[in-house]
Amino acid sequence: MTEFPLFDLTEEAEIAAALAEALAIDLPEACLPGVAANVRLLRRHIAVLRDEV
Amino acid sequence: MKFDALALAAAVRAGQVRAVDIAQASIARIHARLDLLAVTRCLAERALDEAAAVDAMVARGEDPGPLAGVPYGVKDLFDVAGLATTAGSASRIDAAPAARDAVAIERLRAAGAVLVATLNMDEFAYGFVTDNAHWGITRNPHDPARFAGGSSGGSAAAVAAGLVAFALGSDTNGSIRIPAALCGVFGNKPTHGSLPMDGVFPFVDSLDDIGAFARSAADLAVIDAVLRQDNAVPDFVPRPAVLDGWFERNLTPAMRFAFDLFTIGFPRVSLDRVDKARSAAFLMTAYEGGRFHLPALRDQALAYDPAVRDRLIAGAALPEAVYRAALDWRTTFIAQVEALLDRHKVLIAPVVMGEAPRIDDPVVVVDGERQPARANLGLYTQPISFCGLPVVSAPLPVRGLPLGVQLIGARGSDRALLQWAAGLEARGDLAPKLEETC
Repeated sequence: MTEFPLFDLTEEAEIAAALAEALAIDLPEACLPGVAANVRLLRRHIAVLRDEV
Repeated sequence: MKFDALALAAAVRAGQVRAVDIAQASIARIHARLDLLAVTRCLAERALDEAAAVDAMVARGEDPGPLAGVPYGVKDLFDVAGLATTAGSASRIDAAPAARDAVAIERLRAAGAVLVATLNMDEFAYGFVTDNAHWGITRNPHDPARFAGGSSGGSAAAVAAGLVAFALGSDTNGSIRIPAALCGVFGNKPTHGSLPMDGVFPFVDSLDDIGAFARSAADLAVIDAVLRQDNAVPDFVPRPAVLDGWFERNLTPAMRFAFDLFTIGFPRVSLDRVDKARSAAFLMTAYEGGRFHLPALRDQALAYDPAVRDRLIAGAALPEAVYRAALDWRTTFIAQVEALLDRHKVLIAPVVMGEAPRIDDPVVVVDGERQPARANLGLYTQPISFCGLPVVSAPLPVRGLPLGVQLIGARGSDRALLQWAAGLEARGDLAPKLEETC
């Protein structure tokens, strides 16, 4: 899924950095675990939509 | 006093009961059941004023309308003049008060209905359980250890518990159908865009609709006619079929039994790649919802309910290409569904896998895995609202906790679908499950 690099990331810190850049948002630390979990969840739905699973 | 809308209105119009007395009874019931956490604001003064106006019309020999004196509540995302529209978020408690009522409320008032309360919901309608960080978890009236469903859980619980005769909610991915099923009442999600959205706080424009909860399909039909400003019922001869495959996987034993009993004798039909439709709906929701909230999240992310905030932030990061792919699949999937509806007029599917999840174990089992109920109760509802079709969420006649089915119609068949559901209810094939005290 390299077309959408943010959704290939797995580490919370990497996701936070990518989101901060993509959304121009200063992501509070409290959000990191939940946001990372939701990025992973959306990644699974993208894979279904793109017939990758 | 039973809170059946049609019966109450008939009694008020005939001068047998005062609307003010009904409003007072509703207010008393709300205060007696604060434990449900269904009501966010009791609008006693407004309700008594509206009820007095209805009584004055009756006294003058005028007809207040088909919902004369009927008490109702609205999900906390409808504009109510003079109040902040919170959309279930503590961050909006101090928002500027609405200048006027939502159009849906204006129409109900013109039909004689009496607004008594605003009702609890998942923050910004993003959830299926009504677990609200500020107003608490709405309890299921049939078992307070269980969820009422969401996101319009306060609306469903208030009707099932007899606090009001009906309630308005909104449905983007199942937010009317799911709580209606888990609380044992009727609910309808209309053809997309067919009921007035003016004055309703948005979530996902492409999928949002308003609808109602009621104690009977006949009540629901009258409420729908008032909201729609059209009570015509076209000819309708359904040849119902049951959606199999995706829609019959993961059912609990109780749901399997009740669903098989209800659908006995109906043919089974299949849709291809329902999983893809569900994922597309999930992604559209995340994308549109996330982008709508992004400006506020940049300024005050910590004011959001964490469970909602983190979903919205992740969704805001979805690329447009993903959203476009979801829209493309929608076109393909709708063609499949409409081909089936051309033949059958009505498709039947479960609303959820089974009984309301327990609050202390907030999961559902999907393909053998325990998944969060908040995000996964919409397994069977999301692929249908994805198509913008009208659905009646109808309670099955069961002995235990409530269970419900989706009666899915073709675009624009809302009125006929409601009438058909009322016929099934009259035959005993459908039955609301209401608190016995009502």
